[in-house]
Amino acid sequence: MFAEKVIELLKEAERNKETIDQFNDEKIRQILEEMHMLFNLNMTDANASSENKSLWTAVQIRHSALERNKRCLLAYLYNRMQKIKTLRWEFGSVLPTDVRELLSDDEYLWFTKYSTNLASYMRSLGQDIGYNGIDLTENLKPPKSLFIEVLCMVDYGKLELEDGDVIMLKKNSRHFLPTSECQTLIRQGILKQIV
Amino acid sequence: MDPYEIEFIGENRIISIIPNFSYDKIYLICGEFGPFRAGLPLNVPLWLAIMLKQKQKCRIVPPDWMEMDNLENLKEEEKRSRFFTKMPNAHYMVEAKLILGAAGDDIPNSAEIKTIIKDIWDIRMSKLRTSMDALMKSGGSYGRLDHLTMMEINSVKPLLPAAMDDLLRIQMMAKKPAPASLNNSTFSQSGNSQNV
Amino acid sequence: MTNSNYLNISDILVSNEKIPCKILQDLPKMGFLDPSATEDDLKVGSNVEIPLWLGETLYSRRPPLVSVDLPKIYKDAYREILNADACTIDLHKFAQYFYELGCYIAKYDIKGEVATTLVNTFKQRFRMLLAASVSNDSIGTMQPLSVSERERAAAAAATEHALSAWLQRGDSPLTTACMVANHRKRKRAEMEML
Repeated sequence: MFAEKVIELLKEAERNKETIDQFNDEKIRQILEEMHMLFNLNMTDANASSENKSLWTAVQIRHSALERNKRCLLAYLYNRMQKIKTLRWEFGSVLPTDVRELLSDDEYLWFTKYSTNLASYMRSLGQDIGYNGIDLTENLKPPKSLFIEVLCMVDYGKLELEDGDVIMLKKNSRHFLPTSECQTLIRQGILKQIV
Repeated sequence: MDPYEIEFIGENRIISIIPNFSYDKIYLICGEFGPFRAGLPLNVPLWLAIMLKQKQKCRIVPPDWMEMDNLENLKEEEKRSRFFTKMPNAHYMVEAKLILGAAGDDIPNSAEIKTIIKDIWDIRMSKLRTSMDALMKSGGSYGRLDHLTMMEINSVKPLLPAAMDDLLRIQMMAKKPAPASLNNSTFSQSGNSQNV
Repeated sequence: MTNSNYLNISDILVSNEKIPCKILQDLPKMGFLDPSATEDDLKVGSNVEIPLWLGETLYSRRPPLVSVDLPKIYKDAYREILNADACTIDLHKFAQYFYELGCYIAKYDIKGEVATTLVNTFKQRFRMLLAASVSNDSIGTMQPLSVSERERAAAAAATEHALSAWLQRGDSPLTTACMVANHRKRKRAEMEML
């Protein structure tokens, strides 16, 4: 049956709705091969159908299989694109290397461009009233208190605060910090709030 | 919406406090409040009241509606009526949770008040559930939501509007003629709905 | 169930479901569509099970190359059960994409009974969604629901959970972002398997 490989690709993507998978170069190559094969078969049959009218149905069927493959591939790429957008909001503008490996080169290029777009938009907010822009990726939940206690989950290294102090974030160290400083790190999983 | 976001909106409500310090007028984004005179009541936003209370700088004056007789009546009304009764204000649960949580000692009978408000909440929520089911059974075209607070309405999203969408879509799609091809864009289907 | 949208993966998976069709014209070189066919060409009158997307394309040619029959679950026997008490049927076992597929199939039912059954079934099963959203045994209550029903019920359960969490706790802790947490979980699981 035509267009079955591409469905496997989509089913893989659907199985993991919460994370992004490795870009499946291999399967895509196979699907593109299948599409080439269908196209070539259709070329021969289309040329032959001037003598043999009945081959027209075969051409139609193969053509709709080609369109089907195209639709599925586009859906796969589009779906990944949506996930990559979320990656920017959750991981920040710099992706950890293990996440970076899951994307194809083109996808990573798209990510950097999106990141730049987002950054220039955020910078432009409030410029008419003298702000340097607002970081929209912060304060996603209504803030409750000015300071919070956090536990450091990994060896992160130095963190420079707004007032110039530098603190060392070692694994399992506890700190009492202003909420605004910790928010991004908490979202990235580096710090954990202690209640 | 997240319940915390609704709480954020509800925190803007004005309540009365009695500060134990004195201070000048303060100018906040939502308005000006003060001046603060120790021992004299004044009105401030709920979030400010909670913050001051947590720093032990004030006493909270219980809102008018938060007392036993009033709440008993409300509860009876709610039990009796098939529809939803009007609540003292549009964020009664948020106010109750925050005030009773931070300033239970300032409210007389705070434990019984907590229980009775919870009872009212439970009665309304179960009424909401049964009426959701009745709404869907009857065809899901529209429903009356008088006197429901934001928090209660939020509890039925996204289920109720999504289910109503689905039902409408099934009803409409099942009447349409077959499309030309599933591999092209199917946006041409929406043009047929006027002929149905 | 969302709008049938070109890029919507759910819609693509729905249109991949197989439906029974009858071939109305000879289709040369298409014999492989019928596993019981002996020749390269597909003959008139053969009954095949082909994916919905192919069936709809062939049906819409003028003259139509196939005629579409109703899959089992949309036929009389099952329709009677569904109209009587839709909550007894395990949609996950019989028809994962019951509503979506039904919308496409309903056009081939001249009498319009499939459409009425779809609407009735949806209305009746709504209370199963309500039950699943508040139940403690989520696996048991979600089991007999179709894919779209499960999505609705899961969303409702998440709202319920958020609401009761709000009622109980005082503050709202900031949490690790969703994709980050899941990514770490997966990596840990993969490490453990090695």
